[in-house]
Amino acid sequence: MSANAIVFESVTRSFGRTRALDAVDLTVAPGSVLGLVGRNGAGKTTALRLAHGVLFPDTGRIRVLGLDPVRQGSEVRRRASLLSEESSLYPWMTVEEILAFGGALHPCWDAALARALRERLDLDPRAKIKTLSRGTRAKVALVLAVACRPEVLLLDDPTAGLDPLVRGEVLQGILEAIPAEGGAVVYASHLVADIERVADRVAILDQGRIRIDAPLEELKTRVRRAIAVFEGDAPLPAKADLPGRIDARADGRVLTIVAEGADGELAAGLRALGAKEVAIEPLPLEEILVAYLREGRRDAPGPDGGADVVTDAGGDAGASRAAAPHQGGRP
Amino acid sequence: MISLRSPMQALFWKEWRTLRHLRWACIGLGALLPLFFFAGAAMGRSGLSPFGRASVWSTARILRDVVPGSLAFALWPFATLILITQAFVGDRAAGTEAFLLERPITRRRVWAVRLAASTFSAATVVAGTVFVWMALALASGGVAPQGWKGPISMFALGGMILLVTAPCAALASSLLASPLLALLTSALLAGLPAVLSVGLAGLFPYAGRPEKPIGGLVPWLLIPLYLAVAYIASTSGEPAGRGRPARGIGGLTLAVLATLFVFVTSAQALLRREAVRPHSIASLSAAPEGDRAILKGQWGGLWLVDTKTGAILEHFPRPCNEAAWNADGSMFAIGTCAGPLGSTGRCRVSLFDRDGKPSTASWLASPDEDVLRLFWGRGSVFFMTSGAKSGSALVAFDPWQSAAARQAMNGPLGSWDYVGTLWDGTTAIAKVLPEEPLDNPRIDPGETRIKESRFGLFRFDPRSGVLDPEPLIADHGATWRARFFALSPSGRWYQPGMPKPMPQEMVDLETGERVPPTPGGWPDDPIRWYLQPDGDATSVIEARQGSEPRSLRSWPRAALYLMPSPDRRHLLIRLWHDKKAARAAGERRVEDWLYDSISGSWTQLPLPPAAQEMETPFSGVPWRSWVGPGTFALRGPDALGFEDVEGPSNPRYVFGGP
Repeated sequence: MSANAIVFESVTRSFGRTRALDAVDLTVAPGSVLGLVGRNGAGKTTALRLAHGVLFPDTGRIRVLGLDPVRQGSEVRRRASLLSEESSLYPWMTVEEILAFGGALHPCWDAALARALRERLDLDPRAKIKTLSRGTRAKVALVLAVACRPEVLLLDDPTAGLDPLVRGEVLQGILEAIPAEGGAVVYASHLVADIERVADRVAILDQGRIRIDAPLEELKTRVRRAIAVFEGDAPLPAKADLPGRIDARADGRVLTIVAEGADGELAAGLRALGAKEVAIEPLPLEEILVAYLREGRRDAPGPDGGADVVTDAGGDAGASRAAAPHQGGRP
Repeated sequence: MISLRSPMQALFWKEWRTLRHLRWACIGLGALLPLFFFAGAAMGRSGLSPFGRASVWSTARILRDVVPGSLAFALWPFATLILITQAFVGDRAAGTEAFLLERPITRRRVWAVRLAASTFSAATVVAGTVFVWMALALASGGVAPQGWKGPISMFALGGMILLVTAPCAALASSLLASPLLALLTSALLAGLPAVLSVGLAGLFPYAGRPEKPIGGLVPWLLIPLYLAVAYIASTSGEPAGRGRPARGIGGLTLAVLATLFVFVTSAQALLRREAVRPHSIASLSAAPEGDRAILKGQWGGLWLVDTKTGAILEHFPRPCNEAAWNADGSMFAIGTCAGPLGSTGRCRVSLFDRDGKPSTASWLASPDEDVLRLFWGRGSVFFMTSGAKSGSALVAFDPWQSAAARQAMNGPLGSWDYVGTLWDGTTAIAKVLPEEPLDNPRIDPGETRIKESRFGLFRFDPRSGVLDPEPLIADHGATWRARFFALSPSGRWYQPGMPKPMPQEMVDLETGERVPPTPGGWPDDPIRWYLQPDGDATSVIEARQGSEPRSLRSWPRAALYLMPSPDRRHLLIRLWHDKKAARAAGERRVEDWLYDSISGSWTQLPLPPAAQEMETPFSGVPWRSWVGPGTFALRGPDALGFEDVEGPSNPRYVFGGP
């Protein structure tokens, strides 16, 4: 029995020539909520579907609650729920029918919990799925995912495209569904604000690789932004070689740097470059992530240093799609 | 409030509900079909040209023939393909496949339930459309006068077609994501066993029972294999579907290979079985000494048998119908077109020693030629060939020189025939005379209906292949009659077949002298036997050269059939007593008697112990005939044995018997 709820060891998965996950190592401890952040096509959906046994890894080893999703897929799906970004609900069923249908397929289905959730989320049992708004369908999917009382909840961008009010309701439902003891949640999204609200650990997935994996609070504490003002033009970012630097941008006399490390070291380094004034401030999570992702893009191969392919492992093999090369700016 | 108690029930409910619109649409189409045809017939009667042919359709005919056929051969297969395809591909096409993949339910269950739900749906369509058809037929006064038998037969055949189409649809839709593509692929898959069936049966027509080539049956094994491949492709590997098409195509390839393997092994097994177990025997060709015989199967194929042991020494598989022994019985020739595994190859004439081992050279026909009849005359093997390009020809093949002389025959088969060897060693051919038109309708290529063509007996030189222009003698009738009945074994005497009713004379070909016919044989036979009525009795008369004929024995109220031995030492007599008289006397109705002309003794031959098993409908006992001078063959429909003249109570069975 693994001590961790989820373990990925050197997991690689490709779709055709596109590598969606590249030697990913990841662990999710029992009782924790991991926020899996990344741009569209970073490999988040692939990671969750691999954990759920819907996809198989090319190489590497995955364990979910100590089970091998490849060989024990049904058992994994009995104890772990996947709330997918793509709504796969049958449009011709009513809410009541789909809950009854989903419940009949699940041995751990808690009908009372399903009914309570349905009522609290204000779902009309007689409404057909095809008549529901996207937000309401997300609520139905949420009930289906949590009413079986999963030990592991895998959430794949459950609030994408929802208006703030519904997002709030869904997020609240998720928070309430998180198992009190021993369970784990992986919340994959590119909506950082949602991650910040529910996660206690964050992993950044970029181009199939884990860029960073750290507790949320530690990350927010560790990463700082320094704004340095020079007498003349600020040095080019490429030359601003400072310890722990993650990202740097020059704009006239001002050089803005995002970096890890102690405030004093950062300030001393900037002054050594000739900065007249240095201000250091904490960063919101979103900007930290953007900085990391920009750093990743700079490292990536290609004429403009951008990631040239994104993948969304939506379903069947070969469901990857090519995206335009990065054009600069925020992802 | 919906109540779904088990996963299987829930899955079936979902699939059944998913298919409900298609089900109703198919039943509705079936209900509307009669109306379409009624409307077509009405428009045809009104003179609308596209429907002109339908104008002759009556209501009864539409309901009896047209609607059942349309349902069974069009709507039902189509509905089955659509329903099964929708069940398997529907979720994938609609993007809802992930719902079930993300539940703790095995794909095996999902697959089985989808197959069950779609099959039940197809059955519902069948039942619904039949119900509508019956209601219409009954409301319109039935389908008399021909009755319900025809429609029911069509429905039964339609049901068989469904059994074929369902697995095809299951396989295609297990592999493909597009419903339309799956539908078309289903039709292709259904055609695959049909194509293989026709192909294998055509390429290997002799592998299997006569007129039932196994190549026509084995490919249909693909249908259950389709289901197995669909199941494995859909329920193994990654749930999201990676590798499913590859697994399916791989499985399909394996299924086709497995089917071909089954065909090859079963064809070999059947050919091996046929080699040791001849089917019904058409004729026997015995070596002159009678120690070997070649059995000719009714459907072709030859078996070389040791008559002293009853053992089969060699089998020459179909298509192979011709065999002939040489004069001393040390060799025989066969004409065969057999290829490997029951196929048809280049026709050829091959020679073997008396134990069936290949011997000396063989003759190979051109690709379009058949070898039709085979005789071993003096020094050469004679045979008739026929080809689409080369026409018919007589070939004389000298196996020692490997030389063949060929005489093209300007006429269809049946207009000429090999007759035998003449007293002077030359070969005689019967051929329709030049003035006789070759398009004479009485000359039937199948030669069975030739009656009164005029033909001549011509000399043929086997070394030069030249046919004499002038006939030795002219005759009437079928050319084949000359071979069987007209020429004496010595080749000197000829018995013309006409004028009717019976031959009035025999001709000495050497001198041209014409003499009255000699009953029971030829003028140069040293001994002849024939029957002569004597009141209500029948006498057996013996006529020896230089002696007066004498009566050997008489039987009252009996029918007799005389069979002299090849060396004319013995006479075998089959005797049928009058039925009532035999019953009154408590005798067996049939008796076999053997007369020895040297000792003058009579022996009643025992009926074989297995007489009951070998009983034939015609005589009640197996047929006994000569195979060489000292051996009998005993033949029944399911048995063949040999026995010696000296010890006839111990038959040696080749097949059948006790």
